[in-house]
Amino acid sequence: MMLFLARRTAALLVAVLLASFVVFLIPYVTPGDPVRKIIRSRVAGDAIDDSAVQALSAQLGLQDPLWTQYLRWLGRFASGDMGLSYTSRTPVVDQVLPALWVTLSLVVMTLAVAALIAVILGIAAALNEGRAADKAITAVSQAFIAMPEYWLAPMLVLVFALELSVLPSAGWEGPTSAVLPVAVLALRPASHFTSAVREGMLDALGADHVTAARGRGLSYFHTVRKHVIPNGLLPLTTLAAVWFAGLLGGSVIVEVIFAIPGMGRLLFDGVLNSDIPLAQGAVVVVVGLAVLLTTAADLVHGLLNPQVRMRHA
Amino acid sequence: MRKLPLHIRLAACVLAVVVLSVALAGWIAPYPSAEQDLASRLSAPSGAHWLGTDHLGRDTLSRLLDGGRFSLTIAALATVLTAVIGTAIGVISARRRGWLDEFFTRTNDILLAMPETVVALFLVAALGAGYPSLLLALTVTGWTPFARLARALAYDVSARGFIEAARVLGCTPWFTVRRHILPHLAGPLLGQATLRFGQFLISVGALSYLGLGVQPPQSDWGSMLAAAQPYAVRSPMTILAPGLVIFTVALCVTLIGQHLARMSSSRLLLASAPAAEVTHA
Amino acid sequence: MREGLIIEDLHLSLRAPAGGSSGSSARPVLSGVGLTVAPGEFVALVGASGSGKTMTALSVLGLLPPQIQAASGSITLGGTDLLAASGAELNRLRGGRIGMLYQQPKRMFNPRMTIGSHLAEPLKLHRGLRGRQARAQALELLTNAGFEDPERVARAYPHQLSGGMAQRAMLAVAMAGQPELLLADEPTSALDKVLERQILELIDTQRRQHGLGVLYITHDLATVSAFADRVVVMDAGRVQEEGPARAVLGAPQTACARELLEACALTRRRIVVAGEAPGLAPSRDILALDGVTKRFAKGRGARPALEDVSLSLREGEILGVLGQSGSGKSTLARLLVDVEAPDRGSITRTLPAGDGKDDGGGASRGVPGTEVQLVFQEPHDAFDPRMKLFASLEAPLLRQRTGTADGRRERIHQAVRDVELDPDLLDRYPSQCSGGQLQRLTIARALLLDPAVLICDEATSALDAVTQRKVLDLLLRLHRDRRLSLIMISHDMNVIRYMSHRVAVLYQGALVELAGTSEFFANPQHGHSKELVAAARAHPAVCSAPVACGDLAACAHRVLGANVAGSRPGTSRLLELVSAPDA
Repeated sequence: MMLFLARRTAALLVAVLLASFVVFLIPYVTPGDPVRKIIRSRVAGDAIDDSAVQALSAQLGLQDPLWTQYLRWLGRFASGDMGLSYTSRTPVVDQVLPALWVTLSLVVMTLAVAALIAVILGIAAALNEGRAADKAITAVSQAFIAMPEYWLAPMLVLVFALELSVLPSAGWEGPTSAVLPVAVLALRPASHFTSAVREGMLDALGADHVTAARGRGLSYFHTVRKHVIPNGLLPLTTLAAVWFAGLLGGSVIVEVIFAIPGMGRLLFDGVLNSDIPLAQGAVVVVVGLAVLLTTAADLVHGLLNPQVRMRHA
Repeated sequence: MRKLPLHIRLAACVLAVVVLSVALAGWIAPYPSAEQDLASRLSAPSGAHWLGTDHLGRDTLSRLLDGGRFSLTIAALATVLTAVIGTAIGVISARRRGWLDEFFTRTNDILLAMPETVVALFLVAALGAGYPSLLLALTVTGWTPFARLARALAYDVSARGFIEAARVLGCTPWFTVRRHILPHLAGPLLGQATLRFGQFLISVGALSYLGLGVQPPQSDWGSMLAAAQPYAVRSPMTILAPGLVIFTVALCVTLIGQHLARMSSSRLLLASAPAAEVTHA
Repeated sequence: MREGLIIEDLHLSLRAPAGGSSGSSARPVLSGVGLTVAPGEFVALVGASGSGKTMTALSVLGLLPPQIQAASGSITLGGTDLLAASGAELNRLRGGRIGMLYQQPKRMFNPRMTIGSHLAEPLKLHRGLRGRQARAQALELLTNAGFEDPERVARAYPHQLSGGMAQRAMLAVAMAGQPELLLADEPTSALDKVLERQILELIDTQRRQHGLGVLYITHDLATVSAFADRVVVMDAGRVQEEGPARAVLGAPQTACARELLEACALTRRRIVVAGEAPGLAPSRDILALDGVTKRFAKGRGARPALEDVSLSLREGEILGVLGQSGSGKSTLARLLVDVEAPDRGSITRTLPAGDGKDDGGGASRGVPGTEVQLVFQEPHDAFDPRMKLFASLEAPLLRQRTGTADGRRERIHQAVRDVELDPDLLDRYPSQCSGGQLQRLTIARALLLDPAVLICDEATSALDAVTQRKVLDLLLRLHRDRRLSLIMISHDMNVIRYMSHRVAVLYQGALVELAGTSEFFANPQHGHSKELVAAARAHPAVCSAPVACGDLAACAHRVLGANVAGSRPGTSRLLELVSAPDA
């Protein structure tokens, strides 16, 4: 298990380092003078003349080899200094940290809602295989996987916020403001999870060891509860890992539509306003978060599955 | 000829109608897509404008037909590109094994954790908005599902006796891949490609909606949605129509893709299960 | 009240599908099956696959597939009517009064639960034991199932057990409810002879200790001949023959029982031919392994798949390689056909040059790299399921880029006729052929390249006994007609004995014995060899058919050598000879 953990952590580190290096390169590859861009992200003053640029670029080490600059940038970044936002002229880290919590809670709530719906509907469908309930659940979950968030969101806003006025149309204050964003974001993963739970349950129901459990005298319900459901839900952990990235991507759209002050919104603003320090900080944090959550889900899958657990023991 | 279920045939018909009318947009569109008619802004559907007009008085139907060109071609292009790259990488991984396989698998793991939208945003920040960065963004993260599927299937097929038999019988590796492995992957990969096309269509719409895709004056379904949003209350049709088209096409494609995937997997199962004694020839 | 299991006039039928498109009404699965298992009795239910023996067992448990229903008849266990029992009553019976063993024990355990938790279920359900009491009882059950370290086994997950261990653990689970009847559905078919004997002895011990009735389902008569009190032979959903084991095995009355017996018996008879008839003078080596080591797993402590094996095959020889699973025999095959390369040591191939004839279909013997050909264990896996068989046979010829399409067709048809099949078969897909047909076609495909050596890696293990015998005879004919050298790799003593001139024994990756066949079976040297020969003797292949006696007796005498005490030359039934107690 320790080896398994170590390997996972190593892969995680490599991923984040790679992403950070690519992100570090942004000022060098985008149009314009990289030196000025970097100085702008480090120095609070607004107007800087050419002689000051010379002095500052020497002072900030911008003539050093690229990898030295990268290491220095990484060191600063790791210690929480992500530079100054071009637009607000405040440290990026002060914007990133509160936004991180907003997005994290949005994603975790969404995942919980999606998993809950999927477990209920998936089990119901599998236990009624071939009947009307199963067919309806399967059809709906198949259809909703093709539902674009950026269409569903305005429609729901139109109905619940503007016509019925029961829910707020934007913002992130109080539990009611979370209802629409979570509903929009949860729809596609919930459909996907439902199909997966149904398939997993059917596989588990057909397994030979279930026949054997019945042969030992376990009743149908006891067998389903003890041998079918736990095994049938196992694929959900892998699927959750796959979906974290998708949810963080989806949160960009949802946060933009519902004006939620999260990471996605921050990233979007950074890119839209060519605010390089903000975009850099947001990308690295979102990618780090995605990698972290994915790894956590993989780890849970490993813990629940003795074969995986012991292979890496 | 196998008989297809009704909903699959229906989906195929709808898809054919949409693709054909988008392809023939130049001939069948009732108005030039950019023609403004400020007098009839945000008009409701009528005989003159079947789907109404937008905030500049442009005919929504004509704009849908025109915008579909962009949405559909870029999704199709991304599908083909990722399918070819992913399959090649997957098959090479499965056949060569060793460090190459390890390298691709790790890359795959890392990319799997990269949100597509975030990668696209990043590329836009670096390269500017537009067609190339959009396609690049979809391809960079999009090849991984194909590689995973192709690798898993090629691994399974490689473990079968007839692959080892081919080797013992003196067939070269490339001959074996072409003749025995790729045909086995074709069905599932086709299903996967169809499903991915639907997902790409939604992603393209999302990125265009965020203003990262097609740039004005060109438009596509996603950017139409974004442009219509401030007027949603006054004219719901402006927002209903483009979204409905994306949803419908994605739905049809997904249904067909799921059917293809199911059929190929059941055929794969059938093919590997030994039949009872001689059946009808 | 009548004791034990009594099945009377049981009819099962397949429910017509709801659509009913074919118009067929209920199809019979079992027609009038009747059998009894008294307490403490060991009854063997024997039949080919599809004969209805598993359905009989499932109907006892009340676990028939939903599309199959009992039409009429009765099943009682100690007076309880099983067909009329309610769900709750059946739950109390299953695992309680009836224990069950399955063919693939590893798949019958929940992969996410330890063996101990599996044992806890019936202990709680049927005997109300919990906590410490249950744990103590579980350990005792595991000890009774032959485990020396029950605590470790109780903590283990199913995937950590070998096939033999899993079956013993399953026996412990089956015995947990203190059953009066044990249903065993081919529990040893997937195991080798040594393990099979172990399991049978364990079952037999439980039977004697607890007065357990045993219904043992198998397709292999040889397995049960030493244990069964009575034998019931089934075919096509009916009981064909029934009686005391000795009577049925000694003098079968029906054709189907005779066929089952012949399949086992004939394997034994060939020894006369194998030992004496081939008359091939020892000649030069055509394949030689010298100090070959192959290691797959890396890291310390990992045992190499093959270690320092030196072995040679002579021209025109049939070499038997005997080994259990994990002995490295498949690695040996892969090394010989050059799919794997040895880590250490060398393999020398001095293969005879081609005879240069070209019949217009392409090159003949000596196609580089294909002089050594391989026949696999699983015939259904040896052909691409998407290709018609003709295309599969043609593919290797296409690689040679010579010859015409007609020439190739003619060659393929000739090869197919050579393995005694109709070329019309080539129009089919693999799934439309039987295992025996496909195994012949694998041989034909290998022969198309005109190899000097044919390696058969468990080539007949997946076939039923009758088909196995026919394929073996085909190989012997090809060996004679084509000067083909053979390496027969198998875990099956009878196959090795039937075919080989010499026997090599692989054990844990090492070559532990190499001797002439009769010498080997008469006087094995290595400890593992002795164990194998003893296991084979414990329930020998049953010989029954009334055949010319002199040769057979001599043969049996030679095979078993001095170990057969009290053998009576001239007896008309080899059965009595070979099943006589070892001295």
